[in-house]
Amino acid sequence: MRKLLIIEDDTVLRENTAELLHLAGYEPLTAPNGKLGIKIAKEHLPDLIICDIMMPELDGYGVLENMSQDKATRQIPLSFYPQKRSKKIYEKAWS
Amino acid sequence: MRVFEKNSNIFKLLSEAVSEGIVVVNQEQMIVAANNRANAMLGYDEDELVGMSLNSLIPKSLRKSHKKHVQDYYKQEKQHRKARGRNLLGLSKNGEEIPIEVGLNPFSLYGNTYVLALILDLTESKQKEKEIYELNADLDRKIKERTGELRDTVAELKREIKRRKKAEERIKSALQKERELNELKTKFLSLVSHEFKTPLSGILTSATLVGKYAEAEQQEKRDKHLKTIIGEVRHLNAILNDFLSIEKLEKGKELYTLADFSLSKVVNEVVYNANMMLKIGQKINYPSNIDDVTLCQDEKIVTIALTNLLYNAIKYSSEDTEIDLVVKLLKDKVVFQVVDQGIGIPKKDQKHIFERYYRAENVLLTQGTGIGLNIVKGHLENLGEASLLLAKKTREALLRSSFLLKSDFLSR
Repeated sequence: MRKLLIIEDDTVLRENTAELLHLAGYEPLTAPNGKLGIKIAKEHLPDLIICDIMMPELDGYGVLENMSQDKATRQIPLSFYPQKRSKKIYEKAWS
Repeated sequence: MRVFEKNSNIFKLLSEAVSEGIVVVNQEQMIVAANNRANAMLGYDEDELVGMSLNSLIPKSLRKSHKKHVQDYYKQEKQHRKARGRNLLGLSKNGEEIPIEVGLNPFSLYGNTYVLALILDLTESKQKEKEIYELNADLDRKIKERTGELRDTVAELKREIKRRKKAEERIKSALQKERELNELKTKFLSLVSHEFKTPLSGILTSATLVGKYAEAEQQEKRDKHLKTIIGEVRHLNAILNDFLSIEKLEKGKELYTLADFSLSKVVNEVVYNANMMLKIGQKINYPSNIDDVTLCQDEKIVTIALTNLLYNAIKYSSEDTEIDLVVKLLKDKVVFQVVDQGIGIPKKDQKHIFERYYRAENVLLTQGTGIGLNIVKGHLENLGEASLLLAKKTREALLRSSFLLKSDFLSR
């Protein structure tokens, strides 16, 4: 079973996404902000992280930066789903 | 006299060449010669004047003073006597007084002293003078008239300019308002469409999940998602209400409708909707003192205000916290107080919190429009006076509503 981590501050969206992934046969983990997300990621080493960008505590870019600095989490693919599509977000995500 | 007779040809020759009238008198004030111009002027025939006394050419009223002038004249030094012009009146043969100018030139001939008087008829020039004077007066009057008219026109123009300037200012300010409103709508629309995305995603995923729970024993799961959908729809509705009330806010009082309504009914509705939005473990403490209270207010605005405050309290406080909705019924007003245990508003942001689009530093990463409190404050300010007026109708039933926005919610 594939482990997925969802980092999203909106409760409904976070829980619904987790529920859908669960029904699809995945093992979802959830975190309401970047800070907790990093903690869970390091504990459980998920196969994929789905991450919001605009969040309190620590935002999506912060999560990405933190993950790439740690050897254990560097290889985990991270998927952003920005609410506002803008060039800036892509540039920032790829840099 | 004889002298002039002797030399009359020469005198005539000379005197007829002159355009003035000429009268020569001797020392006895007797006329010894006159030219035709003088005759014509005074209405005498040729040579009729000769031998007459000068007095007969002077109006009776002036004769006495003339005599004195003559005496004075001869007393003067010779060199001063020459060519003295005087404006006088002459008496014509038919008794008419004629305005004349007289220049006196004394001279001696064969031991006798004579005075040659050059006479200028002023009738015409007096007439001209009079005409000129009248014309001048007329002109003066006309100038005054025109000046007055001009002054009136200028004043009228000034008033017109003032009026136009005022109208221009009114139009400018109306345009400015319209622009601001337009800008506001555009900005709000973009904010709203962004704000809509998260709840819409929630609704979409919940609806999808409801579809996946097809088994009879999964009713609980279906109910949970239906409740989520309802809550999100209400949240979207609240945002839309904010948006729709902006126009009202910009245009002022006239769009409000004050009517009696039951306070508990409105509070029930607002709290019921807010309950749908609660996070896990959150609870709203409902006020116990509002049964049978009737308020005369704009019900929609009270709803918008209360909804905004409650949603903020829910949004900005964590799970497992309580929110108190306190209603204080004072003599002429109602104070609504919403007290939460949330993150609060940082001190430095507090003075800006009612500005449109302003968002406090500690919520920049949380979704929101920054418009809710601005709208609430605007509406309450617009309503202030009208509600105070109606408060006098009856003592207990009609109460002025006032939201105590400066509750614990700000002072933390």
